[in-house]
Amino acid sequence: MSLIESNNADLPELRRAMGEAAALPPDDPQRRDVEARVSAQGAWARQEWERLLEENECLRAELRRLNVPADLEHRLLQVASLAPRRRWWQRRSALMAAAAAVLVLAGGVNLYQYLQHRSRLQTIALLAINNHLNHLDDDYLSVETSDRARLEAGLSEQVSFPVRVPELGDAFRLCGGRKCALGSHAVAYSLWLGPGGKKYSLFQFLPGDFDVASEMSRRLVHATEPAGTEHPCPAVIWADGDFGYVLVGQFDERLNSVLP
Amino acid sequence: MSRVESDRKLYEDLVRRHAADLYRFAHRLCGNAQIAEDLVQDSFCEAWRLIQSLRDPLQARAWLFQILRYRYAHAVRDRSRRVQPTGGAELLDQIAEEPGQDVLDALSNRELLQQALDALEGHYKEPFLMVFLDGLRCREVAEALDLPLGTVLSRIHRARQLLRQSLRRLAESDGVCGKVVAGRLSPTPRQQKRPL
Repeated sequence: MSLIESNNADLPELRRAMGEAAALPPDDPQRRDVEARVSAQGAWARQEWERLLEENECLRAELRRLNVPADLEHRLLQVASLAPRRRWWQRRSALMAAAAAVLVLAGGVNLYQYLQHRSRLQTIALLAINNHLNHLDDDYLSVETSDRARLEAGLSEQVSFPVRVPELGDAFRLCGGRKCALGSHAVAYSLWLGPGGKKYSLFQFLPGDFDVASEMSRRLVHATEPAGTEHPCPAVIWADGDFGYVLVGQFDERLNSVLP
Repeated sequence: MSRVESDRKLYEDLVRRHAADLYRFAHRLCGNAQIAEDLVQDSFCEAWRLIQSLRDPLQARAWLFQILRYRYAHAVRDRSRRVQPTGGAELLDQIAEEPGQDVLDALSNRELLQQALDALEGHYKEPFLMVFLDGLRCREVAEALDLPLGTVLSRIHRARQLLRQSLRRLAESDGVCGKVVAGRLSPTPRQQKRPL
């Protein structure tokens, strides 16, 4: 250990900064700052920095050294044929035409649209439920507040649409929110707590992003896994004319209380 | 081209472009080839089912990885197989801070590397793999995981520290520390050039 190193009380902090900066791309300002500090520290720090970068290279190369099963691609390509995305009445064009004819004859166009719409709602529910379940242990909120107006102002700067946080009733206490994504669409997320600390997630989305009606009364939607099993959490979905909302949480009287 | 046909074409393109990378990520994440295959298959099933929600093909890769992470989290929760920390907190206090030659050598041992990864907690391992395996930038990882950039950097740094510690310990107990390349391991060409 050099004299410079042994006298440096900030050494752990510098090493932490080096470790963090080494994961950043070379053009990142934070990394450049750390590189300048490393240069100022002398040879030992430069050597350690170079070793970190060498370790990066080694990690990238070694982590990729895995044999991918030769038939994986073939099997995955079959998924589109074996696991039709749509329901049985949409599987084959002939069936679709026949079904459409029957529906038209029966005056069932509305029923067909309803089924399409219901399928899209299930997609939204599935995305929201997945998001909710995967953040149950993770309380990260970019805006922490129990004030709806403050949350709306804070989140509106982060997403591309004005955020309007609806009133959910006394059973729910607002904790804050953040920007997040449902599928590939940015949405506004807010976290609510019920008695006993139960978590509920509310997502505000643009109905056009998911091809759903911009006006919908509150309804309970259960999503199913590809394997056919039902998710443990249902979702309540509605739209108020401009924005859609999906509320997720364990089904109980509180979630029931937001339904009409 | 009908919508179903264009969806199918998009899906097939996703498989050809990203299936191998998804599999590597899944394998490193769960440490088991069969579970990794199941995860990738489940993920592509869900991708096919939700493909209409993918409007921007440029987002496809991030979208697929997001589905995979969700599937993994579900699998962990459903099977109660969450990897228990191997004394992570205590390890952090006694971690050898510097990267060393022994760690670089141990990295080339596939078994040791996977064992060390398996010992990492998910919240350290995911951002670490997203950067070093998936090649994402830390800012992209922060966005994908809904975390502040500082938290992502800190978790990657801790993951790296814990990985070093595990690799050193595993290599020592395996009796290969310091003589890794000469032993049963297959060094990379770069490491062959480097004297031990």
